[in-house]
Amino acid sequence: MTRYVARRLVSLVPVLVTIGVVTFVIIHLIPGNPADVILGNQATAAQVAQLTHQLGLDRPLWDQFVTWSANALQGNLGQSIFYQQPVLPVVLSHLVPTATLAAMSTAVSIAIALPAGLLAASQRGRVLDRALMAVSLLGVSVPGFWLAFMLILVFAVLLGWLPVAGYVPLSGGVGPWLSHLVLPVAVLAAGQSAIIARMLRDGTLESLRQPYIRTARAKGATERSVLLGHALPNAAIPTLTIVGNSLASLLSGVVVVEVVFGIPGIGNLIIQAMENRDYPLIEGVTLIVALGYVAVNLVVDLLYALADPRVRLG
Amino acid sequence: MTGGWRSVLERAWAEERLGTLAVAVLVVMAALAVGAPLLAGSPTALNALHRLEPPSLRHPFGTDDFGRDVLARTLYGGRVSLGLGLTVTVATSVAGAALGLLSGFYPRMDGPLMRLMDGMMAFPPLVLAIALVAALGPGLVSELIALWIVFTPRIARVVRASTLQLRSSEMVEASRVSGSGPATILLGHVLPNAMAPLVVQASFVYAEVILADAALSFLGLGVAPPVPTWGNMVADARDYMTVAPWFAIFPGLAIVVSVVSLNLAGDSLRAVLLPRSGAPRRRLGRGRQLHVSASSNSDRLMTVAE
Repeated sequence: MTRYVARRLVSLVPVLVTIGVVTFVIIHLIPGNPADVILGNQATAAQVAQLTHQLGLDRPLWDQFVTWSANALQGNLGQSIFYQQPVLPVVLSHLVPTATLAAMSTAVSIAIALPAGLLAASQRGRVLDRALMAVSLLGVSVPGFWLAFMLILVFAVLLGWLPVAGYVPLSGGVGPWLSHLVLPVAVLAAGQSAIIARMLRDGTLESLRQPYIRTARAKGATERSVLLGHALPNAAIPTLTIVGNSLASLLSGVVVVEVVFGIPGIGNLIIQAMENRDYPLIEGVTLIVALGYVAVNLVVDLLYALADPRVRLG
Repeated sequence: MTGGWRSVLERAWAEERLGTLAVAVLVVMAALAVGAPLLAGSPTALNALHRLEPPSLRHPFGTDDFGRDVLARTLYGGRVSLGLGLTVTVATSVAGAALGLLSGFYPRMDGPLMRLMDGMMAFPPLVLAIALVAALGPGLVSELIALWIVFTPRIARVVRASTLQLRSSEMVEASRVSGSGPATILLGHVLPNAMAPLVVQASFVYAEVILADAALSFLGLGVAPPVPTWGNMVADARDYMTVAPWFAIFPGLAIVVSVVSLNLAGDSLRAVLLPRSGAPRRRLGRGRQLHVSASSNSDRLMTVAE
């Protein structure tokens, strides 16, 4: 296992370097002098010169990259222009709502996708399978913001069961906290559970074709025990990877959902940073989101290796 | 394919009913978008007297907050949403094919290129697109470039996988022995045989690009109003949800219908072009058996002939 962990960590290095380079390049894609763009029309030449210097834009590119990487490794992601604070604490202070949304959506998605995927696989080709897969197709095809509006219209405006938008931290009471999360989580879980259910169904069908399933059936195992005792464990492990990968599309959805529901998470932060032309903050959010994705997938892979010796020995 | 288009259509209908229907829906939507100037009034004509009118014979989809015809705007919106999606899909297919071929064929380039792709794919698509648009400045061209960069790795991975399998195939060996250069081998032998998985993946990428474009223009980072896109129409509608829900419902439905159709078309293409990768073939054409020849140990690289 130690060897596997070491190998997996080493393979991360080039990915992290790529993430770093891409993030670093973003500000340099701005046409002209980024300092001009950030400060807008009314800035004086002296202000532009000062910001150019502060951002290090007057030094050679490689020098900027080395400094930027060294700082980033120490957690120094520069200074937010709008907040006048270091970027990292600003981003971290917006992390809780986003992490809450992501965790709750993942939990709800697994709770929906597990029975749905298994049922679809066991009923393969029949009405229930087709119905479940049709719903899952809708789940991946509906834009999050539109689904959010429709849900708000029905559950908040027409029925009045839930708040239209907003966010209440857990310290504001469990009831209000939860009621404000129901619709955003529903929107996110619609897409995420659809992806997971589809993959779980295909994975279960795949493992149902394996010889050990024939053996189990030949021994007289009930269909239920074949499905839950034999096929599911083997389909569940790859599904774990899918859950990890679904985080990328989940985090894309989070940006939109946070904007629609006015939730002060990092999705809202990046849109705000964009409106304020706060490029250090945009870079910071982008970097941290990518690192979060890599970290979660590392954990998933290690869990995978723990559960399946073929992975760590292969 | 002796019977020409008719027989192709008949077979498609017999074998992949849902997928054929989906393609038909897409063709109709594309025709409506292209023909918008002939079919509908101006998408930007203001009419203060007819603001937020419910659907009627005159305005089948109702009117928006400026009294503009929602039907006309939805049709015109399709030009941007479907057109931009197609452009990005073609661009990612070309770039992805090039990267995938190089990376799969030259082991030395494989490591660096694939790590680059892995790194790109660690960014949630929308977050990376937002950051890129932020740097390039909002607008159509920035959005095109951003989505092109974001989605190219999806195609590159698939083409690389095919190339890896084909590299050691007898066909490529034979071509090499007979003196073909790498360009002939890659473009003449490997690429044609990697087309099937590429096309399947491209149809799913198209669906994702439409969703990403909708999200970007919803967030105000895509094509700006008054030019209608399905995404910015829904964004405009958000303040009128309770008084004029049709204003948001119709452009949203347009997104859903096009994305569902693309996903269904992709599923069908996969079933036809890449048998064994998904569910086994459901139906074969009446009285016709498909002969599938596969190169050794590969699931994907097949030539299908009657």
